[in-house]
Amino acid sequence: MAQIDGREGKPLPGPRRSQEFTLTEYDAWQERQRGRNWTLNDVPFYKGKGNSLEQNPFDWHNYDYLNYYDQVYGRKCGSAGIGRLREAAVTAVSADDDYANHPYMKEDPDYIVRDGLLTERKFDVGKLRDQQQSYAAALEQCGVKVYWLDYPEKPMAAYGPMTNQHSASELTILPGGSIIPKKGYALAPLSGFGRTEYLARWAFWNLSIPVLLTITGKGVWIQGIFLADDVYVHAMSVETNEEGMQQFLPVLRRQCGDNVRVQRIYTPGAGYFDHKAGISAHTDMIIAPVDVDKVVAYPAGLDVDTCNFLWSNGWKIIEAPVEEQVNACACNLVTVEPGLVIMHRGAKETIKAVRKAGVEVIEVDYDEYNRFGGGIHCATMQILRDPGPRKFD
Amino acid sequence: MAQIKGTEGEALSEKRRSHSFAVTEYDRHQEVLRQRDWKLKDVPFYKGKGKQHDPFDWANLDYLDAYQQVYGRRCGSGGIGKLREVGIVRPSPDDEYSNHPYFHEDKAYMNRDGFFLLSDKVDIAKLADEAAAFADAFEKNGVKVYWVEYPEKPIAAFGPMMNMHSAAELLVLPGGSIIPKKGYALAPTAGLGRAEYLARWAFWNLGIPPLLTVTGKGVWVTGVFIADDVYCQGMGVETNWEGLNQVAPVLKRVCGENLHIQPIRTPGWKYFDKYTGANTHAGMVIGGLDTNKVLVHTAGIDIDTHVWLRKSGYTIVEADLEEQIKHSAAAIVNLEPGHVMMHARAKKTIAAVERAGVQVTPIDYDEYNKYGAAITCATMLIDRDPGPRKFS
Repeated sequence: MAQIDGREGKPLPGPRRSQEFTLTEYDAWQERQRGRNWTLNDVPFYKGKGNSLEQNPFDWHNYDYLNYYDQVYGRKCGSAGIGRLREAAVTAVSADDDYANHPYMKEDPDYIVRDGLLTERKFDVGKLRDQQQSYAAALEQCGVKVYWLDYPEKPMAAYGPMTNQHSASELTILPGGSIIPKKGYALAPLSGFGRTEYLARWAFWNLSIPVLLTITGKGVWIQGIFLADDVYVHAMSVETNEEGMQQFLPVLRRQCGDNVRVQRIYTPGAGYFDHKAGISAHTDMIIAPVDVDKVVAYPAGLDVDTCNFLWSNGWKIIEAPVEEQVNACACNLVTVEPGLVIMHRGAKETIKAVRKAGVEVIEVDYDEYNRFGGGIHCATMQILRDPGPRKFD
Repeated sequence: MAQIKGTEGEALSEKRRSHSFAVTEYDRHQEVLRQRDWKLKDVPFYKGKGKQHDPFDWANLDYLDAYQQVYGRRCGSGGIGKLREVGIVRPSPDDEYSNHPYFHEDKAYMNRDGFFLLSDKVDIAKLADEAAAFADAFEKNGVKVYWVEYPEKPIAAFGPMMNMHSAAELLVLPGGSIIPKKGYALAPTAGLGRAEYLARWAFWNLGIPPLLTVTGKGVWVTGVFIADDVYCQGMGVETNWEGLNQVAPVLKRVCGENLHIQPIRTPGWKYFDKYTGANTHAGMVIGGLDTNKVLVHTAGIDIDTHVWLRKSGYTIVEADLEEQIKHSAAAIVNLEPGHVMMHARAKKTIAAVERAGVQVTPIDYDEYNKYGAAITCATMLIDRDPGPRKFS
């Protein structure tokens, strides 16, 4: 990322990538709604002419947000389970993804690499772009609608030029809207404050996906993953503290049901990713659902209570070997639907074990991002899924 | 509001009002950041080359310490400090309710909670003139005014949108906004979809992110601050406990854990009672005038709140009943402690407020008052300076 020094006031040329959608999905929805022939029969709780005094004025208190938000925003959204994936977004790779030119990398590389993401000092942007396009094509071949999201040229985070725009997954999308996280790891100044906020703004404006919650105060929180529509697991780590979880949980329960089972994983270590041990602060680096009652996991990254939870509740656990966890982010996969997943081609032994468990695997090359401790799950904003299987009810 | 019938697929003109900002405030902030000569000393908690860094440092950074750096602006009206920025809606022919199809289909249904009882015809030109004069008054008092525009012929969740004028329904707190969930009779057309539009508009154009959307079976609309540590919430057909319980933790995180939240259990079940002046919205029955001074509509405030105000040492100025009914006398905009905007026709109430030592800027707004609504409703309070606290 080339930094522009000392040229304050000189604007980039228009039009901007961040304003790419000239007609947003919200506009299109408004257009369709304008054409309708509205009558009061379209209004919930309407009891007919002459009966207005009979109508309970508190009727609307019984109306759940999930019953109408799509009528406001023109679309359903939410990926909270393992039902069939319908819509996703991935980042268009640009020259701004090359971290090697980042001024902080030059100033103090040890500081920037200390939590594991940027151990390689040079990105092959062309290769990353090719792999991203192939991955998007794989999603489309699975029937998933893919949105390409663009950052503005030379995007800026709160405390310097932005890094790792590739991680589109950090905007969690639940039924009804998104969650803006608040990051806590070493790259927070560049890959945290400002990146997901941009994604949330992009999704609200262009796709009509509203924000349900911004993590505030001293809460630290980034997303976990669903193993089923009623099972959510979350890594407690340098990237999520209990204050962050306490802000998130009420929203999770309102949107996904009061009986969602939440399993906290108290992860080992104090960084994002350990390139020797394979442990990570992010849930999607250490566990993933591949089917009803089947997960891929990296046991050394899980705490004993979670291992007990999985075993005791009848999950089949497919273990990722340490070498593939370290080199190919073996657990970082995308569940297309129960029994069908996309995985990194480099995780050969893990793929073999997953197939042996009866799960279909689509392999994609993604080693350019894997080298940095990231994978296709990190790269995918999961926008919409069908309802899927539940574990406990 | 003229409805377009049977023309699905027919596009409006390419240039939309909702896209009026060609370069947003966020874009401009990005531009400014790009030009800086970034060094690691700009990064919080950086201790220098070769030094040990605590990986949990960032857990000590409060959201309020970082959001301006992300979004490029301060926002929030969580008190009665000097008002700096507001948003008000530019009236358009779409504000004409008398053309609304539901109004023709079942007038009694549309009228039942009081909004349309005093008039069934909007004088759009007069509303536009009054809004323009209102904006001028803000600007003369040093307040920056944003004009909010809706798309042409906006549609709510369950029919053509109405009462777009109520910009106040997007509550802007320090750090971001709250998207409400309305509950009264006009919710299908004046509720579900309107504040959501405002939130989207404010996020995109101004860089004000939503902090919370009220969901589930929560029902909640904004209350009012009468000090930086005192917030009053009208509990009624427009706010239930589930809604307040969703919002309260966010209020405390961004306004301080010692924020006092005073629930006002409003009488009745309507938005507005034209015989008593009671109203389910807190901003219509109580307003902060100055440190320790409030204006109230006595018949709209519950006993607990009356007791609490007196025990807390507030000087209470009462709105005249007739003026409350006709001119929403208790509905004010606080410009700063000791200086408020009020409806010009609420003469007796204005005199009482001035006798209490508070400066009043009178505003003609009777075209909107006819609907039991007021300058309070019409104003999105975007940014204030920190102001006085009552208890801490």
